[in-house]
Amino acid sequence: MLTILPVALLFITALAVYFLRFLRRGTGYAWMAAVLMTIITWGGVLALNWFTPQVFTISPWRPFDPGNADAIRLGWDSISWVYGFSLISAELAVLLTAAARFRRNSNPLTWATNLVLAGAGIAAVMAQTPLALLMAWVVLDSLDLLIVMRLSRAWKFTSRGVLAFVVRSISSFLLIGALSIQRVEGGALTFDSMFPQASLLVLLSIGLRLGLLPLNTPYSEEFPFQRGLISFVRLAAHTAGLAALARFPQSGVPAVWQPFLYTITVIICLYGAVMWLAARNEVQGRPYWLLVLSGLSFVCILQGQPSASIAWGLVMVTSGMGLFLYSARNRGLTVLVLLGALALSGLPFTPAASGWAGLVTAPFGLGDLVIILSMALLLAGYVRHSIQPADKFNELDGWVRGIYPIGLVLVILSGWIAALFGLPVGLGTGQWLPAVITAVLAIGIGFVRWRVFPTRMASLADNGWSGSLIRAADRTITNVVRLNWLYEILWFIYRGLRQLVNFVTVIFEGEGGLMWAFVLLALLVTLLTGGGGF
Amino acid sequence: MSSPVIWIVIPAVVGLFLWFLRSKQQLSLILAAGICIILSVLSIVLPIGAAVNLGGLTFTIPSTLPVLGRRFVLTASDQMILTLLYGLGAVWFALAPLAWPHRLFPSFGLGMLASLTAALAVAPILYAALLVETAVLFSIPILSPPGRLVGQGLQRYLIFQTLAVPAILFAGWLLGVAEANPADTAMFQRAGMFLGLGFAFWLGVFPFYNWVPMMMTETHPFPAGYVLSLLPTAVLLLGLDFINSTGFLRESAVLFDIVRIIGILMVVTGGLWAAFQVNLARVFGYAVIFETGFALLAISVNTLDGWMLFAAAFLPRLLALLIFAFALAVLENQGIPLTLLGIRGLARRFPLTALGLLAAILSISGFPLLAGLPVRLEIFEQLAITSRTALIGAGIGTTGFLFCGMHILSELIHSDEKHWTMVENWPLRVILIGGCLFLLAFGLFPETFYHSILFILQAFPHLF
Repeated sequence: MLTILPVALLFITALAVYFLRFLRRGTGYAWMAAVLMTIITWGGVLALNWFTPQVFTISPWRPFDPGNADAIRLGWDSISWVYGFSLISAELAVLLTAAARFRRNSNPLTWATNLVLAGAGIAAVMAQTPLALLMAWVVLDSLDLLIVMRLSRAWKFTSRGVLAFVVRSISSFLLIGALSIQRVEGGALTFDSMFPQASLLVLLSIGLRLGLLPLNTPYSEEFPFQRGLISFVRLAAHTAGLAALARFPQSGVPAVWQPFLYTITVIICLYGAVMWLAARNEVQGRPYWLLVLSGLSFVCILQGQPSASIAWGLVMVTSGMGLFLYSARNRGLTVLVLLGALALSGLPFTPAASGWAGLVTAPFGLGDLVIILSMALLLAGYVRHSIQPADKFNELDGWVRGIYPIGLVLVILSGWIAALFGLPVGLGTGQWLPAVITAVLAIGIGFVRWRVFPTRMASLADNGWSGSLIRAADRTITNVVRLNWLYEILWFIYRGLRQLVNFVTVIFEGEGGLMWAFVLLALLVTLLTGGGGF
Repeated sequence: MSSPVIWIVIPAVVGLFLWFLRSKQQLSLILAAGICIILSVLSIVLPIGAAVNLGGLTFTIPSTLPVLGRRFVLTASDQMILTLLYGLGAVWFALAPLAWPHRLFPSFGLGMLASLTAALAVAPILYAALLVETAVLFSIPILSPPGRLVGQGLQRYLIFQTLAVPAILFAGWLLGVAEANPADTAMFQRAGMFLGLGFAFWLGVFPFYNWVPMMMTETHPFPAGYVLSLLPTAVLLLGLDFINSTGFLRESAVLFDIVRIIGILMVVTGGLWAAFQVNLARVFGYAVIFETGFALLAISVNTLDGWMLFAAAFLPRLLALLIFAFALAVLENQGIPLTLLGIRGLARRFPLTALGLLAAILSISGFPLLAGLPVRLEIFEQLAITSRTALIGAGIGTTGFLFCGMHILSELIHSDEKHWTMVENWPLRVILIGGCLFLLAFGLFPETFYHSILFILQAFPHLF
């Protein structure tokens, strides 16, 4: 029971926050309760690094063979701890900085929703079996859709949520396909044993969910509101996929598919990094932030280094949340937030240092160089978005000015704490060469931005030769990596099939339908008796 | 008093009595639900064939009722089937006051239940054909109440169901001949063919199912839902009874191959046809076809695992169809066209109806967390072992049905309205929320519900 206590605490707190808002001064009480309970949960999760409780198991489904059933297990291990700790830290940061967003509809209802999301997100990273993961994914997907439906006032935004839900549902069904195909080998699908076809389906399922295979960013036009809630739901959804990736068997990727998947993922990382750098602000660039860091984690898996992927997932949550919550700004706070950039760089003794081992190997090949370039663009984009003007920190209420920075520092420092205690090599040196090249390249990109293009970076994509170049690249990548050509074929098949279905329906439901039914029966009987085997 | 008297004669008599009470619609519906609840509870607590001690009074409930040389037999092993059938009746009658309080529903609905129970109980089994036909005739006033035009779908329903009777009776005659001369295997094959044809008509299997979606558009969704929930359930159980009691059917590998092919065709066509539907009532029809296809696929596995899956699938299937039909009935009663265009943006005004509709459709498509998945996943896994082609077919059908669900979801929330309202009244809210919670509970803790329903298989001991 101790295993799911953090999840239970978050759900109970959400319920309490929801009802507390009806009291006089309910908002204050609700915020207080949410923060206090989340601090307790944060401490509890931190302690779980040294004290691992028993795995929590839900009874299996197979009435005829319970011993061989697809298990549903939730538990704490090195992977779930890192991701779980990063999520609870992000949640605490959302609550601590919430007061700075009162004008942007931050209220007890959104905090309660956030707490539920945190619980579901932590449950998802705790999933030790594919079936448990499937269930946690669907909970998160449904919450995402509900939030979009609740917040959106226009179909333009709601349709994005529906599209994301559809894509993730396909991902869930790919996982169901993997669970089924694994039975050809006789046993149940686990993260330790995967039949090659099943492992490919699992990989595609996670890739689709992360927006990588094929490239899909349903939320490319982001909500202009609810910075904390929406950032958290996006991060939680991606974290649920990344935690599953980290459990992927070391040699689980079918060798035939490895080069193809690697090439696609590297191109997507570069594309995402350019879009992140060129985005209007961090909120509009958020889908690309998630895309690039998910892509980097995915590359680690393709290189057979699942444990290295955790480092990139960790900075995605901690550094990412630090930046996304940074809505009220001043120069001193920017320095704090830039700690997130340092964590992202992967320089020695930073959280992402161990991640480089899964990305590049000396001597560097073309793919390695593209990855280094993508990382440099990502880093430059992070700095760029951190120093852009936004709301004024000094305009916040006095007490908010005291709490708000704590939230930011907490989430970014949590990345360092999680790396120190949770990653296999801790805050080690990692591969310093690609990290240094990345840092230098990022500085170079920054120099070009300030010296060569003193205009706004976002206008790069709109004007002159740079605009033409970016648009042409976008078109090419969109056509190839987003598999638009495949969608065209599928659309063609869909239209053809629809016409066929309508035609057959008219025949069978028309006046001669009865006769047609008997003709078809005769045909079927002839085929079956004529040796048409199955 | 024998068990057939309790579970066949009494409901039939009550049905007749309710016909006289038809002007008092609410009362007769409550009475129908009440009698079904009582019969359902009795099927759980009364031990058939064993001595019952009631306050010093000891008696035995005989399991047989002889009638004109034929026998109706309901033994202790049939009790779970009785619980299922009368439980089903109880729920539908209890919801009818909110969904479709028609004066003829309680009497004829109860008549259908009694006839189908009799069909399952009669010996020799071939007389079941006549009793099923009686049930079909009882369903006609429900599906097409006086004053409503009879459409082509309903006519075809009656034609196909009636065509099943000679096919089954002829098969019975051929079986008698074959048993007199067991060396003549050709006779067994012919008997099997006619039997298969009869069941194909009854179940509305491919290619005889076009009446299902047609009929759905011509009738109110609630009574149609009742008939399409009850009839296939009883006929599937009857099919199992035939296989159980006929040795050559049990041992015929070809039979199970054919059942598998038919099952795949139904799943694939049901799923694909649903994907291109713009009429929700027709989607319900394809859902019934889709579910029957999966039931046939479970039967085709022909192992204890397959039979258990077949039995376990009853509850999630019936629950999803009930909620689907109820949600459609709510919309129909509000005068909302049951088309994709008609339900556009409806989630903002009828959020719970939309939720119920969606949960039911997604459950039928085997969506995670909902009732349909646990059994569906196991069927997929069994098919992966026995037939990859069947697995691919099931995958295609499921994709089609899922596509349909997503399309409906998209239309339900397609709105630029700023505010949410809840038009549903409190009883509707309670039922819709309760139904969705049940779907969720089935999906999360299926084993809690399965252990009891698996006892259905006790009635078919020769199958495994």
